[in-house]
Amino acid sequence: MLLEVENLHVSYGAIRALQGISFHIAEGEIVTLIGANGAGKSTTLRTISGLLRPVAGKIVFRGRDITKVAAERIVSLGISQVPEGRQIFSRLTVRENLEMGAFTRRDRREIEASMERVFASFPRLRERLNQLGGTLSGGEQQMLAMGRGLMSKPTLLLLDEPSMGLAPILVEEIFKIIQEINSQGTSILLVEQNAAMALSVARRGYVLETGRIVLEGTAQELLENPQVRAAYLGE
Amino acid sequence: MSHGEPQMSGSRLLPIQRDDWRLVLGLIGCFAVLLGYFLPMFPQRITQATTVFSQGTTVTASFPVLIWGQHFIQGNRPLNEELREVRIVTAPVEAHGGSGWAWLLQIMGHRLLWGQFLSYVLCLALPILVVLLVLVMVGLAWPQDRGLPQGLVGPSINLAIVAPAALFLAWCHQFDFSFKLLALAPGALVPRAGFWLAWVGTGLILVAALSLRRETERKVFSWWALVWAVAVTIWLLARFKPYPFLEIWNFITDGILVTLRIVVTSYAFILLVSLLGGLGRISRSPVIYGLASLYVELIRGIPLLVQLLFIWFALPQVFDALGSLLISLSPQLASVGEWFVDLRLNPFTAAVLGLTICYGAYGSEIFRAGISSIHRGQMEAARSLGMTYFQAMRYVILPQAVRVILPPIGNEFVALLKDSSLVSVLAVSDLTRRGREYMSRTFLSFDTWIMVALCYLVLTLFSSRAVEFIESKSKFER
Repeated sequence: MLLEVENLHVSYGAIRALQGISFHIAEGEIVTLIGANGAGKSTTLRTISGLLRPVAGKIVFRGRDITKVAAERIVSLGISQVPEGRQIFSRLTVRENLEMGAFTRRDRREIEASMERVFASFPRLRERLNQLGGTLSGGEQQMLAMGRGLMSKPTLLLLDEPSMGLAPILVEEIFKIIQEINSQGTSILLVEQNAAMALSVARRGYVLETGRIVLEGTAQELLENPQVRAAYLGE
Repeated sequence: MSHGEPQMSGSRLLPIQRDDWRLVLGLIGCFAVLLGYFLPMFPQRITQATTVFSQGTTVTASFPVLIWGQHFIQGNRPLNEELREVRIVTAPVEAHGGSGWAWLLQIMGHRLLWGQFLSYVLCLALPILVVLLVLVMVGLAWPQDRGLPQGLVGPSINLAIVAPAALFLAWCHQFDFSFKLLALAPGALVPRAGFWLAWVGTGLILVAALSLRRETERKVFSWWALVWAVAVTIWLLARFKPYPFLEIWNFITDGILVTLRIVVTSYAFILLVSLLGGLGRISRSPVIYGLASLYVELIRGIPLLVQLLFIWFALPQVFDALGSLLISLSPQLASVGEWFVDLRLNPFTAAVLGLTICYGAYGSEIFRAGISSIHRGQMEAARSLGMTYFQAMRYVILPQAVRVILPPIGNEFVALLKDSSLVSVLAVSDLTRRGREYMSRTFLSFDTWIMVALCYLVLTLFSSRAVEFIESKSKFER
């Protein structure tokens, strides 16, 4: 098992954002967390990447308990988060942004190789290599954020709302690339409000509601589930 | 040419035609200046001046120290004596008929004269510099498809504005800026063709440059002119009315230096305290947050003057009490205790301490606001790339926050400069205190305080322009 989350509780002060969720990701899987605003999807990701400390519960990554490991250490263990709203560094060029992604790595040649791999997935970034991050379009910024996330050579990539604020045609492109990245061996935990899109690429999914997992199953099962269809697929 | 255009686009003005009248005018101007510098500028020079006072005191100054010497004498005149008469001796100029080049070379050739005549050299060299700049600019623009290099237009316009003034000052140097001297030596001191030609030349360049200015959206003039105006006012006062203004100026100059030293030193500490305070105010640790907030809230609630008085008058007592307490506690601590009892802040330290503590509190809030203005996601993005909290602060958050922090923290500098006048209560001989000392000696209240006010004005106007300049360099669009 790549990642196991057990009975995770997270609070923001008095607000209890996660009330005991458990799930797992196997090697090579795309798993999606779907749910409405405020269900706790982003909180889950931020807790896994070490930005938030859980009140109770356990996170195990490749057999190692990472519940109390600092965020910067978790990156070098092989988990990389692509934050919500992209959060690229707008005053740095595309190349510099990507180099920031390799902050924990020291071997120049390996870094160059990773960058080549990123360009293979996102040819557009190569075209914009010396452009400032802030001058890219929304879709290109999302690509840059994902490319930056891949620069640390993660085994698990956490994607927070990659489709947010993008035109439908770009969303499709992004999701195609997500599948491509996955096929090269990176497992992906995908958080999405666009449930139809997320379930179309994921193998399994979990449905979050107010800090609890209310449903789980393979993507196919969830797509066919009447509750999911009514609540998240707009039928 | 919008201001915030990305750096990669060309920094050139639109191509200017080879026969554009402004280029032609500028070139004619250059030619006139160069020619003017080869023609005689002045027929004679003053070699000696003797000042006679009403009770018979005479003071004589000769060529090398003449220019400043005259005014120094008039500014520091003997008490109870009136200026009665000035006698001058003039001599024809030998070298090259007194052309601009000859003047420059003559002074540059004598090391001893450099110090005395540096301002004269600058006055004469400035128009030449303008000519060079214009020539370089035109040379770069000459191939038809290339525009004027924009980076050169601004500076050359600014210099072109100053150049005629510099030439005028060169003339003033000759006459010691005294119409009395001019009246004493009519004819001998009237400028010759070279001087007028050089002036016409710089005038032409100025006209060309000013019309080019409209092409750039940059405000090259801006409010720098005001700084000049106030500085020139001080200079005019000292020159035309050496008594009392030159005397006041001589008296308070060291005060200006003290004020600047205090302000610059405290500002360095203030930046440090503000950064720490700002980080404390956003800290998640309740202890650090509490301490930082307590500091900010307490200090901002007490007037600066009261804080300064406390540090100067009450803090020694606190140290005494602390020292005696340590001594009475245990013999091991006695040496530390004695150190506290003996501790006396000197006025400068007390002033810097007071200003730092007070302004650090306001600065903390500026840093806090600046740091919080950067989206929280940037911190999270940096953290999830493997940076520690402090690395993320240093490499990601602060560089972005600086652009938000810069304007208010720059204003703080100007405010600090003004509030530094309060430290005059601590026996620090700053500008204000020197003014008060002079006034209590002479009872010339109006003249003293107008001079002190003008000095502060130059300093504050200059620093706010400088702040504006730095801001404009760091502007960017998100």
